[in-house]
Amino acid sequence: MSAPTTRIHDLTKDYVWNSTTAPPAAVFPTRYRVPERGRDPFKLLMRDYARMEVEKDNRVHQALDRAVQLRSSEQIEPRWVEGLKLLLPATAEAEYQAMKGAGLLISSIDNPELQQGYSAQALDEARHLQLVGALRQHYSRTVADSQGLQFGSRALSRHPVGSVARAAFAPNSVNDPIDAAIALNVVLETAYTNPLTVAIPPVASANGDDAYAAAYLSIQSDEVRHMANGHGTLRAVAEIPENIPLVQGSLDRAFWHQHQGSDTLVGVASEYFVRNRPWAYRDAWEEWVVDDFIGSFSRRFGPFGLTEPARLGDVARGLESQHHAVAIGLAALWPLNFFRIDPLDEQDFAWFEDNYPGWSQVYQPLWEAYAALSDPAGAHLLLQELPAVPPFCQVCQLPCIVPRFEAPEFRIIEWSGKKFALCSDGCEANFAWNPISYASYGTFWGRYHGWDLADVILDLGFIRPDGKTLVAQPHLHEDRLWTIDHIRGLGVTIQDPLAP
Amino acid sequence: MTVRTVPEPAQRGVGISLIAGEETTAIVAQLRRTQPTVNIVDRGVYTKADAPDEIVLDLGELSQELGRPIDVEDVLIVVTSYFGEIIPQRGATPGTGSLVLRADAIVSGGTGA
Repeated sequence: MSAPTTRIHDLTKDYVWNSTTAPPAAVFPTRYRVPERGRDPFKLLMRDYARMEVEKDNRVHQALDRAVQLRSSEQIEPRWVEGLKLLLPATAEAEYQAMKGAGLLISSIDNPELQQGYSAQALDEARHLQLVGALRQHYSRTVADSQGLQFGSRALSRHPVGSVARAAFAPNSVNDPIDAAIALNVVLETAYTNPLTVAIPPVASANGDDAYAAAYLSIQSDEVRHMANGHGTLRAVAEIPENIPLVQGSLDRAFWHQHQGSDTLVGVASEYFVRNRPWAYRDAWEEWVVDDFIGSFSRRFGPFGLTEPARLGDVARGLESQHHAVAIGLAALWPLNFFRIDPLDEQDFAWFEDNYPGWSQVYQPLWEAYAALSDPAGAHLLLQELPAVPPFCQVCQLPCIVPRFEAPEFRIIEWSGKKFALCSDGCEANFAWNPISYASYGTFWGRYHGWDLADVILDLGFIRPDGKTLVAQPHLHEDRLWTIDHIRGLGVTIQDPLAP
Repeated sequence: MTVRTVPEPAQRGVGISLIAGEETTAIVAQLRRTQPTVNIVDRGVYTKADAPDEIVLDLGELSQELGRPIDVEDVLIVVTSYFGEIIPQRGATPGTGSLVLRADAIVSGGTGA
């Protein structure tokens, strides 16, 4: 009779050794005391892990093959395809930073059981990157207008709002290892992957895209173990009372930053890049983040003295309006996008007002103006109606038009002789915690101060194969397409709002 | 209309989300038969189940239902999320054991709950 799996797992923990040479200096030394024991509830062996993951991959690729055979992409709502052009690279960024983060944890936490859990996680994250790549290839070959998909992750570093994803996920790998585990495994994996990869698949399906649902739900099935890794690490660290204030501060900062990135991304994608909306994001957030995450976290970690994230009230306030502000911000900046944005119509207006009372008063006139200016014959941009472009927050990288477009809460600070924009109290607190890590990041407007808008677009490279038509368009029509000549004819010069 | 920050209902202590497919169909049938108080919501591409204290998936019964040995890893293929504590209990032979989800105790005066 073979040994029980848990017994074999216990034996594998003995396969550790101590180096006879001095260990390399930690890249990011930790401020926490980390106990040597910890618990991975799954006690997974590599042979079982590999069998499970092969089956998962087979199912996803069978779903993609089926979608090709049935020409399913022809049924996808075109708005959703445009949203995918933003969602896919943003997810890839999350997976890439998570893979790095798992590596950081393997090398930093001297605890064999947790190390085994993080080893499987590192492999998972690589698998997710491959799946997102496979999806991108699938859509590139099958959707009617694939322009923009080809840029992949490069688009994020070039696009003004693409930096939001980079800023949100970098703390998962470039950080004190325990802070990284809290940001990655506790806040992102346990709270925020649920809206992104469980709640959004029904949105994709309602808009004709079952391939996305198959891939992202499969990705999330790995996150289940990552959530357990986070709980195991947090429980081990929380057992030492002197760690508690550090954990609480880390949780507060990570929750705020993840809200700024993930809530905005999911809210915009699920409400502004679809026609069929199975839920309003505020309701999905209450279920997945408040009921499931906060409720469960409180039960589990309340006894250790940990409390709910400090700015939960401000986060909830942002849920009412923030993604609406950023959506119209993306529309106003549309020539800089690598995707198209369809103007909203009467049916959309009714849905938003039903689900976000008061929306019509602020946002409907802006969307009507956007629609009215969508034809290049009008030779005018919504952007030209603004007194100045909004600065981008130095922490979360969102345009400083949040949490409400009509009542932004940003402030300009000076640090080390330079001016920085911060969109909120939460981002100001994060900046103050570690200004060096944020201050070194250049701003989009600073990079292009004094440039003609047409030259900025050419520099970004968001141009179609004919060399003159923009990838971005303020509508989904096949005609009335804007070209670089139309943009140059407007004579718009970029002015950095923080320039001296 | 203010976005809610207090978890509710407080008795929803444990939950699991399952990708649509034959395993999930069998799990839902088992839950309806053996744990009728579990709340189950079908959302098309996935199903979500939650309960006040505990959800138990019996792998032996699932193996019988599906006609092949179902181990913890076979269930994890379709588990896309959970909350509460997850406790895999592997059996001595293939196709036995259980996957248990158990709620932590409610903290009196705790946060948010």
